[in-house]
Amino acid sequence: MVNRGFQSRAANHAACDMEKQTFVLRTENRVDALRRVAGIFSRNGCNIETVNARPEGNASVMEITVFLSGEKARELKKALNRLYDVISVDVKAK
Amino acid sequence: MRMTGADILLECLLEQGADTVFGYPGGAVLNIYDSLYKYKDKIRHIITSHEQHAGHAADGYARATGKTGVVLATSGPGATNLVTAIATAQMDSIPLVAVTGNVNLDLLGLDSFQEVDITGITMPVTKHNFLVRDAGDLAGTVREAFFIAGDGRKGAVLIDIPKDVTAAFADYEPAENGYRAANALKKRENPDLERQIKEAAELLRVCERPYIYTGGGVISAGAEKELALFARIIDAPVSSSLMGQGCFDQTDSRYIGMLGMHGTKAAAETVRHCDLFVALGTRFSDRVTGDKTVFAKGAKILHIDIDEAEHGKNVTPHIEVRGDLKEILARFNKMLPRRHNGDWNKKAKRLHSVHSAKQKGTVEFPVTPQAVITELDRLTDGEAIITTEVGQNQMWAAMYYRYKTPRSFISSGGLGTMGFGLGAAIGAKIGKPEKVVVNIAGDGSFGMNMNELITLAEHNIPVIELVLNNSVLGMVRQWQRLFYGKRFSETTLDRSFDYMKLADAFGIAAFKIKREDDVEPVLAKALETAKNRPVLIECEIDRDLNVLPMVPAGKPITDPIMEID
Ligand SMILES: Cc1ncc(C[n+]2csc(CCOP(=O)(O)OP(=O)(O)O)c2C)c(N)n1
Ligand SMILES: [Mg+2]
Repeated sequence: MVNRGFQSRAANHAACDMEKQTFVLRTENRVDALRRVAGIFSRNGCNIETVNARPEGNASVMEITVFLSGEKARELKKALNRLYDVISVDVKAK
Repeated sequence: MRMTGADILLECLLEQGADTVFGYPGGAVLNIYDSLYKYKDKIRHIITSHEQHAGHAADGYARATGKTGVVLATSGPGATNLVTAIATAQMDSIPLVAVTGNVNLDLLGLDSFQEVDITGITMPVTKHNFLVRDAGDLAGTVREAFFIAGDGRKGAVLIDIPKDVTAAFADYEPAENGYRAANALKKRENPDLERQIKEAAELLRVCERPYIYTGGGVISAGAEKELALFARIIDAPVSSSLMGQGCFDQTDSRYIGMLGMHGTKAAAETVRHCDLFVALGTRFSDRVTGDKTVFAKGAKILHIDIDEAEHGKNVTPHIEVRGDLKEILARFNKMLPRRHNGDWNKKAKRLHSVHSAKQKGTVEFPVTPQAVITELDRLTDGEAIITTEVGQNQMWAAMYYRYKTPRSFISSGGLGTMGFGLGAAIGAKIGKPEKVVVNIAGDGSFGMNMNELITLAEHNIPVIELVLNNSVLGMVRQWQRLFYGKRFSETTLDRSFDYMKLADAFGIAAFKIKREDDVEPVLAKALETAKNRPVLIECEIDRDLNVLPMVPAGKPITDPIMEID
């Protein structure tokens, strides 16, 4: 699938080191949790490619793939971890 | 105990020590207001003219006292009116709990009368928020909300409560212990703390020209005593951000002024020459760093903050330490040897003594903000709480009053909210009645919140509203002068209304400063009057005064404009 995230910026930086990143989050299983998480991505101009969320015990596990530079991914990881509902965040680069 | 949701809410506020609430009633909060009627003797409610300013009042109360502020508003427009106040508090990491009513549960999501999705709206401007769907969850939610607002990096939390939840009965048991959220506390644990402290201590030992830069985090951590000792131990010059004003005594010889867009030349020069930049409880706002690529280029940067997301967000430190500033500084104070950097300090001090030119008035408007604020500082012995609006007035208030203690300068730093100051002053005065509270305002900002003069009068809140009237949106005009060829588009306010008559209409004492000879006697009289009633002072100043120095946005911090023709 074509990556629609960061389109204009990617065009400016042809050599941009964007790669596929998968964020694996454990969050409290609350109605708003996905919305809060998605908000961090959209605020940073980052288009979500795929998202998968499922309950696991009392928690919810979300797997979210996006195209991002490694540096931006580290930044977003911290911003996501700051959300009160988020229990843990891991980033796996492809 | 069986109680209504509304009673549970108030009991839980009392559990948290929240005996003062700012707010405004409406349909969705009728049950809560009915309970407030019953709890009159235990909870004081201050009604403002507008929910936004109730929010700023709760925020100002929190900034002045260190306690969590509480604001209450109805659904729909009441809730949306709170949004600016919530964002203002959140941007400055101020503990605030906002409670809104909403429509009944079965009407949610149907575009019902006065229904808005306020949790959705405020999601990006709160630390966290809640919609309570069951009265049985209410007590736990309120406790959790207060915990979140005041834990770690503080912030704003909203609790939205549908009307039928406030009417429903549920069991309430007074809580014995404060609520602690295990997950949040666990995330704050720092497994690397010992290593970080060791590395930082090493940097502090080997550096030759240390410089301490302090932000609002020092105030929220209550680390001012530790900071004062730390500065003596490592023998470094100190400056503060706008948010950090007062965390370090500005009459201390080590203080070299504010750092940032309108900081002192000395503070900026010292950034250039230091070899260790110690940043405490600060987020390196773009208003401080200017051009990030050259910021403190010659120095190692040590960044100590409680929020891991701030490390490397704007500026990448060489060493970061994550944790509570008060504890960390106390550790350093124990482990570091006392040192003396005589020449380095002398240099910083010398820079500080030469930098600042005196403001000059004109024939028609001889009075300068510098003269007024310096005199106010003298008459109040630097002991007042100064709140501000936004614009030139705010910067002058930061520059010319010498703050000696934390929580004495109250200003919207992150959001830059015009209209913040008067509500904040109301909250500060309610929280600290023994303090002189002065809101330093601009005429434009005054237009945004003059309705709160009614609140001053109604509750007889003896705050001084000092309007620096330049008849313009001065700060925007300054940018137009510098960067838009003096095309003063829509920034000249030819509003020749009579401040004296306006104050009189509200029943507020009013004074005017026009000549240089007015400054001392009028301020003295206003301070005397404000011992028991509110006061408005209009001070006429020239419209072409500038806030200087000024570093244009995105330019190197070391290169401020010192003069404008
Ligand atoms: C709510 C809001 N609207 C607009 C602005 C943009 N703004 C920043 S400073 C300023 C001018 C403020 O004028 P005034 O209160 O008279 O203060 P002065 O700069 O003249 O001292 C404006 C419009 C803002 N900060 N906040
Ligand atoms: Mg003005």
